Amino acid sequence: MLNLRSSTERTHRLPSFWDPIAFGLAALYAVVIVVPIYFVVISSFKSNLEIFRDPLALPSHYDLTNFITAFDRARLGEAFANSAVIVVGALALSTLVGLPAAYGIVRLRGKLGGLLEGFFALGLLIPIFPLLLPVFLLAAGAGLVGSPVYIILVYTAIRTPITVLILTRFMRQVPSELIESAEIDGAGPVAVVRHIVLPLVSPGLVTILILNFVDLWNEYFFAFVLLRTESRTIQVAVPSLQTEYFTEFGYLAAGIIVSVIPVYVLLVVFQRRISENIFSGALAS
Amino acid sequence: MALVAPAVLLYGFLILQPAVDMFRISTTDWHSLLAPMKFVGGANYVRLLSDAKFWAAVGNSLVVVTAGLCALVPAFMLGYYLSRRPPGHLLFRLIFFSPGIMPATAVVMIFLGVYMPNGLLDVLVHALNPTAQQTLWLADPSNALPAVIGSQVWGSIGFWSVLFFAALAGVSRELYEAARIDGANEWQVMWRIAFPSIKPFFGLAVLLAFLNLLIGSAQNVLFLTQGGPGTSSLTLSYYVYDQAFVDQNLGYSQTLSVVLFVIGLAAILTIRRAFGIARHA
Repeated sequence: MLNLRSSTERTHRLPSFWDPIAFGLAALYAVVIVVPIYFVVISSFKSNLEIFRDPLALPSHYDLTNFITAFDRARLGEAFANSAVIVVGALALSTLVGLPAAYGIVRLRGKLGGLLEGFFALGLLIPIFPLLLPVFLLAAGAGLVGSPVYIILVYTAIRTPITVLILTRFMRQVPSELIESAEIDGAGPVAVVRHIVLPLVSPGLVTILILNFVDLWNEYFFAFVLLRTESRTIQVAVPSLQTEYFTEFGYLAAGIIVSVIPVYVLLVVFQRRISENIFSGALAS
Repeated sequence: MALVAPAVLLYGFLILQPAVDMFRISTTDWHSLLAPMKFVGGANYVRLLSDAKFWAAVGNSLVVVTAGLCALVPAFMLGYYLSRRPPGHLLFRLIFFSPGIMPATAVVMIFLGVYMPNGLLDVLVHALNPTAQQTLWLADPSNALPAVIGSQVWGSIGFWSVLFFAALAGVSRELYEAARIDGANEWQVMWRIAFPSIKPFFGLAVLLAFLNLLIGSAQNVLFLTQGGPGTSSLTLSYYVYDQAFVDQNLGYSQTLSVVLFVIGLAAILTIRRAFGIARHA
């Protein structure tokens, strides 16, 4: 659908008196977005003295002092690695759990498949944040506070309904004759999934991996409550630069930049797909 | 069946079981992990009625949600404007979308710099009006909640405008042309043709934005104001966090959690019905 626009459609547009005004408002809003981001980027190269003297001026020189200090004080390197391990772990596990579940739902005959799909659809209705304390108490009871494995399981569970539903939707598009003929030829379920289903649902898999990555990389409260200093994620580490050294905005700015790099790399790499992916993901839920 | 079991078990054990726990703990008086848990039935729910902080939090959450949902109107208009492919629309889309995928933590930290004394906002105000008195953006009770709302709405207008743009790309241009030939002006085309065409998607935006505003405010409030001064910026989700992890009123915190949970659930069901979003759309 998104590819159907052609340039000829534009030519019939009526000129409007409102066009310059609309453009002005859009440009003004763009400035409102860009200025704080610009402020953080330049602040990451400035000393506190420089920031307060003129917050919008370019830095007098560029060096990585603030970044080095931020890495040192908030142990950002460690936190970045923790985030990477936890998020990649949760992405892998959610795929490992979600793919078979979606395949099972599609292949189940009778009402059970629809019932299970309904179960996960209901799961989308459950707000997760109110469960913060009970999920913490489960960890505390099992002595798992601070354990990266526990938060990987929690993250996977949180993302399970959307993962299963999106994958189920994509799997429904795989013609069942294709699967049945492979089974007649003696292929087991693992072989069927690997050679027939997986190649066909890979766009769905990429969609859900991107959605899950952005959501989990950015997650704060569960990480804050469930992890300890040594295992904390980047989202928890960056604000620690604020509580201890609030006035040093340069360090905080450097930390902010480090914490957003992965999602922006993703935005650049998957530029074309990402808004459509979030769009289709939102539609699916 | 065996294929679906791991997903069901993981979800049941780590989400559904805690949800049941939440209801159970909400009927207890419990002050720390080491203290005994005392069953008090509905006493915590009765306490809600006379808890001034609770009502302040409900009122503030209502303001946050209302303000945030109102922002979807300019977001739709911006999305419609982008769908007409004005000059620079590619750059606009890139800029508008970029705060939307930023971690909430980063956004709040940016706003610490915006609101801090002699920070960005003070400098901008001073540039426009050199004689203006310095304003306390976070420490003044009349500014604290608007400051929290500002940090939540800042990027969301742009984020939703790009998603509305994507939804509008699926609407046939011929519909617009037909309306224009019939003499409709741009405003009428936007609200009478474009808007109804993506109404279910707009409903989905209302739903997701509602949950983000209701729950997401916890983080903004935590870092910007901690609910203060007084209760001027206390929101319901932050109050839940505060009672559970700061004040250690574990039982009562879960009563508040149940309220948050029920509001979230009721909103999802109401909004779905209002915009005609199918269950398996």
